[in-house]
Amino acid sequence: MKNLNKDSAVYKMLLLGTVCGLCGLLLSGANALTAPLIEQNKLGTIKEKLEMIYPGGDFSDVTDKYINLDESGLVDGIYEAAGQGYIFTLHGTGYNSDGFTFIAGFDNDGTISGFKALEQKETDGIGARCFEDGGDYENQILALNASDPIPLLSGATLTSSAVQKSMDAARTVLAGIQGSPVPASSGNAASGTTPAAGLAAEDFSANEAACRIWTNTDPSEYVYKCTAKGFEGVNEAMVTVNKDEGKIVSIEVTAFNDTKDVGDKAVAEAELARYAGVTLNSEVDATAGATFTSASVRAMAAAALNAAAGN
Amino acid sequence: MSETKVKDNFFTRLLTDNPVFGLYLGICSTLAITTNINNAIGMGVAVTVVLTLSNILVSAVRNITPDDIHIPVYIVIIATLVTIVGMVMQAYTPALYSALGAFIDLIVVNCIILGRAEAFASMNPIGPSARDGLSMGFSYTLSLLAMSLIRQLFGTGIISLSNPFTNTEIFAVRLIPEGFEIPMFTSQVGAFLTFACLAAAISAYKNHQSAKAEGVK
Repeated sequence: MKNLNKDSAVYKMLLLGTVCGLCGLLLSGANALTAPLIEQNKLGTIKEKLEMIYPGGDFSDVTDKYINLDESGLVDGIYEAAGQGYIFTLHGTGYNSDGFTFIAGFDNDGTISGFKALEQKETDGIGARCFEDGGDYENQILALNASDPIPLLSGATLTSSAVQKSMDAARTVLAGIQGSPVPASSGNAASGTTPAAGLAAEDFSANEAACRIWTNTDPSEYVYKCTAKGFEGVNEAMVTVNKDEGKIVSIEVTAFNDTKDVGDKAVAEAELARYAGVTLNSEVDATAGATFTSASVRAMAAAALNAAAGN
Repeated sequence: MSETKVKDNFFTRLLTDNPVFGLYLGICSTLAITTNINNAIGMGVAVTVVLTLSNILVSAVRNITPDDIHIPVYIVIIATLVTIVGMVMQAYTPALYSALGAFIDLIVVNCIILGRAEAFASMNPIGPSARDGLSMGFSYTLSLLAMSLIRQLFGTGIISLSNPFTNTEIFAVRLIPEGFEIPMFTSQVGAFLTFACLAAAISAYKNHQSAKAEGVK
């Protein structure tokens, strides 16, 4: 360098190259020293949560390694508990548009070892039931085998559907990590709605439905004025029944006393149109996201059909 | 600025040549992070370390660096130092690192660093350059401390300090009774207001000093 002219391009290139090289060396040295600590610190914030699933586990963050296996975008983090299994941090959007986050642990054999909310603002008493510590839903999930579909929670369809999707995403990633076949989607088993039995077989006792004849000018078509409890209050409907065929002709909800923007999904025109032709043996699916109000309408339909049948 | 002047005026420069309130450099980070004393000390120490080391390195390479590539060389040196400081903070003081956020990385473009490299270190030997870095860094830290003391006190009513390594509280004293705080001081408006008042006070002091000096003449 001594013989080089300071103004020559070669000198400048060499100098800049040397400075960059030395700086690169310094950076790699600093990175080697601090990277393990930074990694540990990153784990530190979530470690407490991971310990809830595998107490005293030896955890490592494998998110970067396996996150490309997630095509749903619902998996936020993947942590390996050495010799025990994997823990996923997941998110989903139920009823509250802010969404929720939770962690789910899977043993190496695929069984679910833990399910805890990290942050959720779902409606108390409805969607929030999915995340109750030691609640029914948590117990249902923890009792599942590796191949069982994730269940939905009646009355919390939107939240539990979102949980179902996120859990399925975690199972898919787990299968990818372990090189095992991808399990069937829970959603295919339940199609996002609560499977219904025939109206006659359903238990509507909680809805306390009652019907009385409103008009019977046409001997074949009776109009019943029915009431049934929903989520917040008592709903009222005029149910027209073809008495001869034992079928519903139409339902018109005349008083809606449930949660606005939630329960009213079940009394929308399109939803009520589904009841045309329904008999006591027909299956009527609950309306996703409005399970309680939907049960109230179905209870009124069943009560009117029962009344028409003379039951 | 001569070497002797740096040595003699280390402390008087804290006010007269204060980078924040005298030269109006590095104001962006000053306004943004001075919501509490912890942030101020953390940022001050980080800038002082970068400033001192960059002054030393810039001074060391000043004679072999041609004029037309001196800015890229200085920037590479400064960016390397800032990245290393950021890594060390992320490793040892993670809470402080996340509290300061992007402002740690933005030290690269802090005018004080490049300003001192250009105006002083590139023209002076290593020793005085290091002292200049220390003195400027110290001034900057004091400025942040003054701002954060006022903002934290009036904004929250409490003066507190925590250990950045363990994130445990060392002390917290309530000096203003609850309900009498002025939350505006923790917002951007409070930052500008505090900055303006302190800058005006230091300017008044400087004017007073120069008037006195003229009177002596």
